[in-house]
Amino acid sequence: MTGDSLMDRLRALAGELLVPALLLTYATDYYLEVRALPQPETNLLLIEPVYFILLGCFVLFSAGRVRATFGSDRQSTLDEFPDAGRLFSWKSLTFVAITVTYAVLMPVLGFVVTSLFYIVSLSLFLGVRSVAALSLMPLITVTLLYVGMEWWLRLPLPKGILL
Amino acid sequence: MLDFAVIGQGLSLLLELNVIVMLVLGLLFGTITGAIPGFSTPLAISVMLPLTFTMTPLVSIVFLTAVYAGGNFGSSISAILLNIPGSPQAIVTGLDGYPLTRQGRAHEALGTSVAASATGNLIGSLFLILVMPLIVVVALMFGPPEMFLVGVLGLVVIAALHRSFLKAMIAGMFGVMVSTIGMTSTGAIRGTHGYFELMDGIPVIPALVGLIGFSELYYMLQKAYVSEVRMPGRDWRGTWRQLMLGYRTTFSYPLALLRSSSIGVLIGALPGAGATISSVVSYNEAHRASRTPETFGKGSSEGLVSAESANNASEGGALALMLALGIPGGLATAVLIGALMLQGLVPGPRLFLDEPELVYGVMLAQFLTSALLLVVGLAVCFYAARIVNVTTAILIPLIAVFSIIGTYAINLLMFDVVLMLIFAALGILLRRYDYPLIAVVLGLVLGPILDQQLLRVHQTFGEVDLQIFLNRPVSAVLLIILAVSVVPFVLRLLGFVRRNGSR
Repeated sequence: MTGDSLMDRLRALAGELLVPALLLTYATDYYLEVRALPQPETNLLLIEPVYFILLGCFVLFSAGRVRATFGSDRQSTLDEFPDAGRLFSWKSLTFVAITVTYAVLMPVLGFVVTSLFYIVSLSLFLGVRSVAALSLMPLITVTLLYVGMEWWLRLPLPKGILL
Repeated sequence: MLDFAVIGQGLSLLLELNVIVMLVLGLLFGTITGAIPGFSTPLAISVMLPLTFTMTPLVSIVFLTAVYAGGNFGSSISAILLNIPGSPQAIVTGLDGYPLTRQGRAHEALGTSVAASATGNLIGSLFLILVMPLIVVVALMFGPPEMFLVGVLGLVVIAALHRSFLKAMIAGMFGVMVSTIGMTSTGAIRGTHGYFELMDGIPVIPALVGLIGFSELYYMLQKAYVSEVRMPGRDWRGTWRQLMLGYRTTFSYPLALLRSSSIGVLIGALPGAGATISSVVSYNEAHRASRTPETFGKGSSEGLVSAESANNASEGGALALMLALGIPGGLATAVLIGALMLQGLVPGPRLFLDEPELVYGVMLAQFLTSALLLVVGLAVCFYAARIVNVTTAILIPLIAVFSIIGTYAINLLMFDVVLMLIFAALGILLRRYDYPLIAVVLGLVLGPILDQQLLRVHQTFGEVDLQIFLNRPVSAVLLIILAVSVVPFVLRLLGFVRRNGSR
């Protein structure tokens, strides 16, 4: 990346610092909340040292990345990552949307209906076209789960206005 | 002293067909449910509890301990094949098991896992019957300072999990911070934001399923198959050969097997520690002692052997503690204590005096369980590995539904499902920027132990001071072990600071 533009380097650095910054922001908010509670000497026994270790690691990490990005011997940042895959794609975002809809609708409509709908819609979206797979797979899975949980293990599944 | 007459009576109780049948059924149920993400071993035992009402005390306990053993092993199957651990104790298993699957060596990895689990279980059983009194004495020497140091030892592993020490530390410390959410034993409520579901803390299973399982599904979308290498369809011989190769591989690491199993038994005998910490500490020790530490995390059979033998051996230690003192080592043994009480038996020293045949029967049954685990585990693994031949288009919807329902089933709360999805989002981000997810999970598992024990140290001694740890022999020894473990990481950190400072 040594030949990349300043914008590219800044973007890569922002990506690198995104995760630790998010984690540190949450940790700081939590630390301050606990510090405001009565008896901070007992409530912060573990939290305080852990928070400062986290802060120290963040400072060291950020300094290292800034140097690696802008120093004379700068090197690639994102190129160092193993191939985890793209963060966002239309496929992954649709998967998230279908899954969140499933989780939201399950207590409203019930486990059976939403699970059938979820498996069929997700399978279709992922490219399954076989009628046998699209009909048998959801039916068998939902029946197995329903019988196993409700009848055998007596663990009630979410029931909504349907089933 | 061992009373051979009573051991003989205990053995005679076991030599009945119904005991063997229930053992096999328990192992099968435990193995299958263990492989389902979210379906934890304590949950598997507790749902089977009502079925044991009509059984004799021995059959009921033998059945439930078989579910326990099967669950401990089963959780490694999904960790190896899909990088989705069924329970927290298998998080380390996936570190080397999944890379082996991706190399097309799934059957070999499963064979190694079965053999290591059964051997760990066997060594745990041996310890249980031979050195139980000693284990109990040692376990009783562990007070809050010692337990705190055991937790810190587990935490040290975090630093070894990634080539970037700082990334591992950031992820691990965040896990510890989050794990302290909830109501403390002093009555303070920390970070629940008004959600009563968080009073008991962040539930580990939803966090584990979200962080590791669901985030894996997210990136699995971009692949057609889990592994680029297919499993042979009807090549029974090839499959068998691979499984046997895994068996042999396990025994080519006798030292790792023995060391990890011993660590597993000892940590299993500590109240509140359990299989997860056993496997983590053993994995770290195996990494330090290995001649090929660079292969760890990339498909090392030695790493897999260490993790699996330790988490299964911990069962022996946990059972020793439960039977001898009536103290549950973890959730699973807490449910087992409930099962004993349902039968009108109270675990503890009196049980040895009042029902010696039963106690020895349960102990000896562990040997049978180990032997049968080899057979049942092999049968399940023979077919299970073919899951990698199924396209992700079929797998993803099914795993997603099982993960969601498995998460829901823990407390029958949709809140847990939402929490799981939040952790999944975090896992997706952490994976993208190459942070070790396992560090967060370890932080989540170890954090509550560290927090509780540190608070107890403070309550007992009025302060937390290094002198407290140095004045106690066991904790002083643990401090020395800790110092030795930390040295390489301190040197790495100093090297990092020096490199950046000199630029």
